[in-house]
Amino acid sequence: MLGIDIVYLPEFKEKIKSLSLEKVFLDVELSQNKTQESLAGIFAAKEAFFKAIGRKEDWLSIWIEKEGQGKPQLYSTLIKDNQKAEVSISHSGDYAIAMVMIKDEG
Amino acid sequence: MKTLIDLFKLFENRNSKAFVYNTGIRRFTFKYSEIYGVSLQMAQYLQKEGIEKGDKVALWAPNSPYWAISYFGILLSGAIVVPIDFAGGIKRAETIVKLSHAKFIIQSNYKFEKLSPIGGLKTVMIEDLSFIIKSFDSIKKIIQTKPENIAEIVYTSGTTGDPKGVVLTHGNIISNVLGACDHIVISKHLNFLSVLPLSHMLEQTVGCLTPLYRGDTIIYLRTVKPSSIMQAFKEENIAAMLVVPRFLSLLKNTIERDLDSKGLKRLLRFGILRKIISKSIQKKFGANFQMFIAGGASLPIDVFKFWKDLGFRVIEGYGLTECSPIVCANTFAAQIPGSVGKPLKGIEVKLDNNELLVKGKNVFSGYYQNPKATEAAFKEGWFRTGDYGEIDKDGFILIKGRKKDVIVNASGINIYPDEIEAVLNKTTGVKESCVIGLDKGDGEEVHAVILLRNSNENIVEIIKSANEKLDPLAQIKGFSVWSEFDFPRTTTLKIQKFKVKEIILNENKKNKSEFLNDTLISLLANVSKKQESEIKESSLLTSDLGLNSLSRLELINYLEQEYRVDLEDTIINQNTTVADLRKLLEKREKVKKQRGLWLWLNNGFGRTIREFLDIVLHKPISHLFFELQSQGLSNLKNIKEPVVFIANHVSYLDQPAIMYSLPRNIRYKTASATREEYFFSENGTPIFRKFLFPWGMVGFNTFLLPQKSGFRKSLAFMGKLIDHKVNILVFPEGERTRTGKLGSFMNGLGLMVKELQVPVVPIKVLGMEKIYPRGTKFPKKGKCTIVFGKPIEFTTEMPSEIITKARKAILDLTPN
Repeated sequence: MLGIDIVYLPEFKEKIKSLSLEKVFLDVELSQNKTQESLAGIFAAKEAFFKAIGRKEDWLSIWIEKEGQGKPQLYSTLIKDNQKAEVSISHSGDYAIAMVMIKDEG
Repeated sequence: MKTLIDLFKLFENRNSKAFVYNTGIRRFTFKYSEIYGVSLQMAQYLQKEGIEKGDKVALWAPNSPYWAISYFGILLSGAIVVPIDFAGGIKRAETIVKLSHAKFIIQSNYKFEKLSPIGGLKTVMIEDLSFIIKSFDSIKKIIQTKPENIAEIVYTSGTTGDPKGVVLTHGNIISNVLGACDHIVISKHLNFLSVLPLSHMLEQTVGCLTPLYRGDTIIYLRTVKPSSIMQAFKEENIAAMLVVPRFLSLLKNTIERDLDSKGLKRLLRFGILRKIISKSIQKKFGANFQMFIAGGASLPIDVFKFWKDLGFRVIEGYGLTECSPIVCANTFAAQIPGSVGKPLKGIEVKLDNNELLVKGKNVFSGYYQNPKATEAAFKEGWFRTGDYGEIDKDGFILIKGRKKDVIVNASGINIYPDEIEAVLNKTTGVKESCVIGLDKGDGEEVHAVILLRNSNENIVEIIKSANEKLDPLAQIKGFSVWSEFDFPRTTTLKIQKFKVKEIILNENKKNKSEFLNDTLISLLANVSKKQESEIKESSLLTSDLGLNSLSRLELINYLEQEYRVDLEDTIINQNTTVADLRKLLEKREKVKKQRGLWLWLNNGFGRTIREFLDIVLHKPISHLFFELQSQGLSNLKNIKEPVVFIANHVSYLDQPAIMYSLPRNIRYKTASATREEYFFSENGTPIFRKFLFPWGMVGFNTFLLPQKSGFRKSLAFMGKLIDHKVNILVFPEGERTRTGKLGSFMNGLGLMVKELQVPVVPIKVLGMEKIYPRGTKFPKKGKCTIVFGKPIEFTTEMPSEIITKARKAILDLTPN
């Protein structure tokens, strides 16, 4: 299952300012990502995940952790134990884009 | 008691609760003695960071126990607190930091925009403090403090033209704390719910320092939204809450709307019926609720009467930051609607040309580095409040008009018209602007009156572009074009705002239809950036109005504030129309309850049933199948309960086997998670499982943990269990092993441990693979060994690290 999402940074910055961040991001994400750009990337990744599973769920049921080298890893309480989710996030200028793939493992 | 340090010293030997921090999942309590210890460590940390006596430290964070710890830490290190509104934007924060010459900033992860540590400025995240200061000792020597020493600088007005940093001393603030306790005497200990910003003196003095002095308990919420506030009333035995008038107006509207939809509103007029309705409303605020304390703006009489008629006490007072902040307040014994009461002891109030002047120990000495403004603020040693009033023969003060035109919104945030005007006046097309607070029935809202350069300028575009530049909380909600040649002005050419306001109000009365606009449609128009006329009842929110996921979040946020309901943004999907949304809001549909979460199983009754069933039924049956041996019980001797037990999952008999291996005192205080999908699967569940479900719940103290949606609600339930000192057993593989080896762990475990913040005890189940492996119909008799490991405590680990470590702990467990 595949999902993709693109975020327009100026719009993201504008709208997210007035929202409670804790509705969309978990503490662990907020403590690892202090810049607006990286939060926009995570937002895109979460949206891409919803597209991959084909339905909208709680924003807090998915989270992204950055590994040693900074590679993002997606975790969710929504995927089954025989599934694995892969994520890739990219930024350029005013845009952040993310792709999520969920695959069955054996 | 002369200084805030003296107040702080009272905490040392108090064993009672000072704070409760409710995260929505767990509630963490902080004793006074703990606050004492941690604040001393905080001071030491600040000193190590180079903070010296007289330095300024900015505090830009949401309300929480760590706000107070930071506050006292700063004072203990001899430094000065510069509180900044957390709801405000980065520009305001930056300006205040610059103006106050702050050297250090305590800010928050919860703010999207953060101050960057440049030019020698240091910053720390308030959320990281608990981990950082753990490694610090208590400060060696508390810096000597005198009553005349500065405690804080609070910026009150806009920061554009004439920044006013109110300098308050220890003596100022303490005199107000003592004055408040003397004015309203309540001997009982109270639970205060604190939601107004601590950066304001109102919440700080009345909602924090005074309760702390009295030895009360203060409750902070991680998420402040209508539903969490009502939840807190229910669960935390709240006795008092500070509010701004607008909060009471909004809540009044909600209650009325609710009664109206049930056809009950009319009945409020009849005495007995009103009593019955009142009782049911009072119930929602808990049995101990005593009073709202209202301040910050004037309380409309009809709002006061509404609450009074329902049997609520609303104590209204009056104050200003410059007076730390209380000047006068009503009391239980003497209360006149429309009046703000009598001055506190030691405070003198007099009238000068109808302007209220104040004198007392609570009055500040001047604005920070602003001698001009300071001079203008005093007249012969009296502070000029700038507000107009009357004093009746009994000494009650009535406020007639406020010269300063600060607008206070429902969350108690001050909005400064001059800052909005500064932005508007720079927008092309605007000749001049005048921003006023206009009450459209829900309290004051930001209303811009614009004098255009050219009559053909597009006013909507102007407002839009100004709103983009404005702080999220200072958004312009309404506007008018000023049709005359110029605004009415004073002799010094200042705009006479009260006159502008009068004229605008009159105009609005004439064309009332403008106000009767549909709230939902105007919200949708605002969010989707479409004209109201384009929005039809049948419009699809996503495809017709073009709402993307961001705008949906924005919309939900607005709706929650407007309708005071809890909404999940999953309510909007591809097929949701405007009419659907309206129906949802009208029904005030409660968020769906998660099934299989029964807290009562953990009370004495539930435990007794379980013990009984164990003796007569479950234990004898279990003996038919397994002989138990437990190892590592010594690891459980000194565990800090509650804990999360984690075990490998081999068979359906794992849970009882673990339970019977646990010492009795732990066994009956442990609940187990079971997979919701096992009992309620979408593809149809075998009937016998549906029968098993209640039996499992009652007999084995289980609760359901969904793997699809609703994890968060189960997590909140787990938080409740832990708060009630109940341990939790989970099988993190999520299902019985297919290979005989330990499978991978569900991600949820990491999140669970992170949020619950309790130790994890690993357990290994051995032998069950022979007794009742996956795929066999009936168990056969055999030996089972349960090995308990040492508890693991997690602190700053990420969820995935928790999972890796927890899994390794089970793998490493070996039987003797």
